[in-house]
Amino acid sequence: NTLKPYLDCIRTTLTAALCLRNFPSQIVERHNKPEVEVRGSRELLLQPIVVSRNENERCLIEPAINSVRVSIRIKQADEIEEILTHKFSRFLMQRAEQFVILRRKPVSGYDLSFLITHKHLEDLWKHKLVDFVIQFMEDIDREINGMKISVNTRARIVAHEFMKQFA
Amino acid sequence: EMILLEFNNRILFEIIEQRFTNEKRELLDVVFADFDGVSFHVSTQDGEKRNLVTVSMSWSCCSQLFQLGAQQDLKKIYGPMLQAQPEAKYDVSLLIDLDNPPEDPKNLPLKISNLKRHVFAAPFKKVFGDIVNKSAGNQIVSIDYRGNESIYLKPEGDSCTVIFSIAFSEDADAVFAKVFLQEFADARKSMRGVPAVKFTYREAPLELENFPGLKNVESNGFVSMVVFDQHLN
Repeated sequence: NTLKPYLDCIRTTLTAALCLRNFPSQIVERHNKPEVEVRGSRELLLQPIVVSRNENERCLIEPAINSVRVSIRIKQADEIEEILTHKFSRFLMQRAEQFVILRRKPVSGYDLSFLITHKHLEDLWKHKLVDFVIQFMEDIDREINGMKISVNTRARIVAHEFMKQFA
Repeated sequence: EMILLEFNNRILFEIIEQRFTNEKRELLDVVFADFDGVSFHVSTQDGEKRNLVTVSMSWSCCSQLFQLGAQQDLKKIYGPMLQAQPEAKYDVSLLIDLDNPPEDPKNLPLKISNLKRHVFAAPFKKVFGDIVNKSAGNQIVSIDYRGNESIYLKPEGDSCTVIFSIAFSEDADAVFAKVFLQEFADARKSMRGVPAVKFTYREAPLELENFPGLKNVESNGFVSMVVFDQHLN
């Protein structure tokens, strides 16, 4: 089973990448922006890493001096899982402000993105934050699977109700 | 749990029911809608004639349904209430005399509110009846009951294939439809005597492959159900 090694690899990579410090903008006076988003100065951006479980499930970690972007591509085996994933992640992303570390739009090629800044690490424990991201990835797969089963169950009930008029 | 819609029109039912139970007869002029683009108009004339209630219906496919025997069916069901000439801008009209009802007024609210259902049922009754009497041909019957959606009836020996064409406003809806209709098709595994169901999306179903009257092939989904003798009798 590839799940444990996949998540362990992401855990260690994140723990290393989340060494952030405050770094005010070098370009605009008195501004403080997440450098991973601005991408203005090459020396402030670290090597991005893609951790792949298989071609359909992967995680992109883009570190920078004061911020890290974590993007995940969720497993979607068929059309219905694609729709459910899309609707579910859209629901979460529209509430990004309350979510704190969620990005409003995913990085292209991925379903969901987190943006973690030095400010978040001043308020939150790093090891707990990493735990959260890993747990999130496990939970979302379970949620999508559960939703798919509900759709199939509902379909079976509806079909039964309709067809019993003929039986 | 399940939302099962009624066959009749609830608004029409209550209007007719109230007309018979209310002492006061106020002037009436209501226009309201039903599913599939159907429009109803219920009215009374002023003056002395408040006992006469006109119920009119307009539906884009009425002319098709009349060609398939709807008018004869309506005559049998509504008798003297059916007007030879419908109200202007409507396709069929019924006239009810509250003081001289043609039958027990307790039955009238349900009978009147089933107007759409009776008109809609005509081609089904005809095709199914022909199959039972073994006088059905191979002719495919089209009912364009909605702007971009139709129903097709194809008699085949002892059975009838009923094909529904469905327009989806979003591609996601078509995916959900596929999941649901797959369960309909699978119902045969656990229930006996149930129609066979197939679903195609954006391609003509096999039964209608060379049918010139087939519309919206590139955009619609098609559900085919085969009903057979035990259902038709």
